Amino acid sequence: MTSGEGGRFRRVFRLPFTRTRLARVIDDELRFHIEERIREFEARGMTPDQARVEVMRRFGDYDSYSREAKRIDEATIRTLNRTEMLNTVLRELRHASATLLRSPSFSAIALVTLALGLGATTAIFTLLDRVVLRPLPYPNAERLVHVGTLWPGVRADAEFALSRGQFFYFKDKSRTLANIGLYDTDMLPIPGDGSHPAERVRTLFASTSLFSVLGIAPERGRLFTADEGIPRRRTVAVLSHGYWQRRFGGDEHIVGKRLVLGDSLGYDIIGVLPPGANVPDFKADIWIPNWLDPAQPPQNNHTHFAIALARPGVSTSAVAEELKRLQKQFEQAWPDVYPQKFLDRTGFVLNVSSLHERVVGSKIARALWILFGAVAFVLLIAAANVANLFLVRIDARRREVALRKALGAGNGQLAVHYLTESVLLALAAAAGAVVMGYMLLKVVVALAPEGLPRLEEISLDWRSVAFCTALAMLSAIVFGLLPLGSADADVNMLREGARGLTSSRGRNAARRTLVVAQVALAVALFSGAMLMAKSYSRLRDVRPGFDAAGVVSMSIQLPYARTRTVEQRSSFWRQLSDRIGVVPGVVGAGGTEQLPLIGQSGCSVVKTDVPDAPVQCVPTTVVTPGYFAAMGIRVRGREPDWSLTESGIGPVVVSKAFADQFFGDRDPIGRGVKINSDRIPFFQIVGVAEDVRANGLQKPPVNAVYFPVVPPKALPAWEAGYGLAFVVRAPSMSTAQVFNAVRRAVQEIDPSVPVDEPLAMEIVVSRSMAQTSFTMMLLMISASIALLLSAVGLYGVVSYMVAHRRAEIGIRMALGARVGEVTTMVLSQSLALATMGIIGGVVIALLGTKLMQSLLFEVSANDPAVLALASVALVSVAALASFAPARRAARVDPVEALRSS
Amino acid sequence: MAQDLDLLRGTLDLLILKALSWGPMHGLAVLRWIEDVSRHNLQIEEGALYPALHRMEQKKWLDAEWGYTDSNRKAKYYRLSALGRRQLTAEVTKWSRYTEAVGYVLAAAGGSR
Repeated sequence: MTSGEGGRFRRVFRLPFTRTRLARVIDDELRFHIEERIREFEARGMTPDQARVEVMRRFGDYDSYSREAKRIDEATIRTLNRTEMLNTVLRELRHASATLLRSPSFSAIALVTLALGLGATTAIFTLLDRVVLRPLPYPNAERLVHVGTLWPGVRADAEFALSRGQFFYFKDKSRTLANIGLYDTDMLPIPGDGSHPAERVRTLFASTSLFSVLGIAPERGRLFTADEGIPRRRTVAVLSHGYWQRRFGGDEHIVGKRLVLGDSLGYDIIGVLPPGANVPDFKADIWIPNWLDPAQPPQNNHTHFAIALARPGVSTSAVAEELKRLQKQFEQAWPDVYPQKFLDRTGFVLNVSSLHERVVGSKIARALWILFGAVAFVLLIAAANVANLFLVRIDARRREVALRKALGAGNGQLAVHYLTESVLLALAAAAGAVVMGYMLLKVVVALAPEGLPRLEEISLDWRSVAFCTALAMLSAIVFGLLPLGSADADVNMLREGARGLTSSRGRNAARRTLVVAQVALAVALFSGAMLMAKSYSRLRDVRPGFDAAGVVSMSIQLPYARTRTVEQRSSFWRQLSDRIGVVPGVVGAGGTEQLPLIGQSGCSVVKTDVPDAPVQCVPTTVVTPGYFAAMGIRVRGREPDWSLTESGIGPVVVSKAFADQFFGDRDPIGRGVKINSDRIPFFQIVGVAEDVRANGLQKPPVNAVYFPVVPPKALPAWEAGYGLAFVVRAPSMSTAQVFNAVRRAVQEIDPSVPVDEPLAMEIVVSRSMAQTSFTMMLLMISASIALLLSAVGLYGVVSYMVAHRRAEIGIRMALGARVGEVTTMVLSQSLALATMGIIGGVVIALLGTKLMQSLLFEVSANDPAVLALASVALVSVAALASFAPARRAARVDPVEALRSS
Repeated sequence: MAQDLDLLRGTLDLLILKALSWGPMHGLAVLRWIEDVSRHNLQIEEGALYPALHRMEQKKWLDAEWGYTDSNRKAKYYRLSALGRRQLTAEVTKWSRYTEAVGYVLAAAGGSR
């Protein structure tokens, strides 16, 4: 420590860290000077007083010198502290990376395991965050309220919209709402010009209030004024950003130009919306004012979608309460619109929810939360594996910890030491996880069902990265502090000498618990995945009531102006069917107003000619001859052809469910059915079609009435058949070939009629299963990772036990145990762990899968076969994972094993 | 005034470095050595020594350690670091150049008179 000066320096001088201590130290130094000097002067013969005065004179201003020295020292300390901290960090980082690199297999396994768990969690978190957690993209998103109506007596699961009367009544009377907007949607034909073909554009008829409800401001031009909501000769239109770019090439001078749309009304373009400005469920190309007359008496016609803006600070439930009260008043004010009989029969009631809830949907939110729970399980399993790896290492390191402690390392220093290592590992894993999460998210989005809202431009953003890093840091802290938890490693440890490698009972128990927990989580996850798989296969077995193979549909809309009469319309469809029918490869063709599985069909109140028959609202559609054959819907009786359709009887086909409900045991064929109105005559039922699950494969089949395009002779006007989904069955042709053939045929008949993009019915069917298959797929992926990780975990623990008990196994073999007995011993230990895990897992599954019931189809959440399968799977995994360690145990050489211990 | 102090401080630094080049000393020992070798010709306000020492410690010219005197009193000892030794060489060169230059100036002035 010292040289030259012979033991004078006893202690390294370190600048003291607190201000008071610093002052004291400087005082000590200066006082030493003064006292020694006084003694010196006294020795030269001065009196103590003289000496003191002389010394102080020579010294100068004591306080100012001491203050200056102190100021200097404080600056020095600050610099030193900074350097020291930086050095510590660098040193620890260097040390940690060296340690990690020294045991590459530990580091690699821990890294990959953790990255796998974090990556899966990050991907699903991003999905959950984007779809469920984030507010809708409106300035006042949390104040937006959806208002609709429920008609449980008509259709239990469907929701309808608002009437014009309700809209004005609520707008006028409500105190909880700041504003209310209303809209209708439609596809309007727009004629072709030189460079663009005729097409149909997505049109939104918006109340003038809608923009301010949604908080949308124009990108250029202006939006609707209040008086533009009133009918007038010239009206205005606002373009979406996308349509402005697509159709008008982003024309700078678009505002003021004229647009011909639909039935040749002229529209002045007054503005363009910013990108992404939309109502939640419809991407409109063109926005047009909705002409609503407040003076007209209310009607029972609930077709307008409504979005309301609550006043600041008013809850959705307060809005719901008030609107329901207003609705009661409204009903009482218009008893002829809402007669009591109607209210009783339909159960008509207002439905108010937050717009967010409406858009996201509780079912989708639930599915995503379940998936998030599933990946959280995967992460926990991964974490358990890594924790186990760390625990094994702790045993190897107990001597190191004890040694460091004996050398005076405090808990704080040790914590920094181990934390650096685990943080380094976790951050590397987080980096890997972000990459993996990014790729996984791409896969997930590709698999995602059509109905999953808000998926556009979804990607891993800073929130996801922050989430991933936070999780990584959390696990790093847990793993890093594990060795300190085992800080029973004290000096006694060192005395154990070579036997320092024995691990404590407690740590073995911890290791086993982790594996049992792992197996339990894997069983639960696997059960969930199997339940979804079973639902999916049940769903696939459902016959939708039609045969989608080789069927292509495209929407064709006739221009109203040129097809005013029934004859004009039916002649168009007949010509089209005839032309398409002769195209080689086409098996059948026909049109319908409502395709199964697409959109929400409304209902019409129909009546049969059976005395006292129920009058009920049922889904109806209008079809042309050939539709049933083209869709593969089987019909008993006659399937109307063109001559029957045009014969003047108005041939109708009803579904079997309808026949059963309205006619019971009687044969419906030959009977009459009609829309419930005195002006309409009965149509004649000529056939009974098999039931179609038009509302989704999970839903029961609908009781439907298929009306013809041509009505009975007695009915002069029949407003049907303007726009049909034209369906072509041509199994040997591609979708594009069918589309081209239809487009050619339509061109030949009337070049101004646009044909929409084709849609393969097989895609429609698979889409209706997409949510189930999506949930199933992701649960399967999670369950597979979970199984793999559990296998790794079991393998690790069993291997460790075998290595640890080599001596014991050696003794047993020396005492005459056979290879088979040793193998059995190892296997049974592994299976015992697995069994405990399985029991726990079944309990978790029974509790957890209850939450899944609403996502399942014809499968019970505690399906015993599924639980049994999950248990068998885990037992097999446990057996497989312990196979290699068991063989290793069996190969133990007793002599060598005993010697080495 | 400030210039005087600076000159004084620069000179004081040089004197301290020179003193410590003989071995570790506490502040008082440094002062006594300077008094001794300058034959009491250089008058220093003694307290000024300490800010100077602490500043040189901050610059890492000096290392400091607590030690005990022959009479067993605790005192703070300073020792020249490698950096301080280099600094001393540089300061000595600078000083001799300075005095040499001043000497030339004074000699020339004397000649012209």
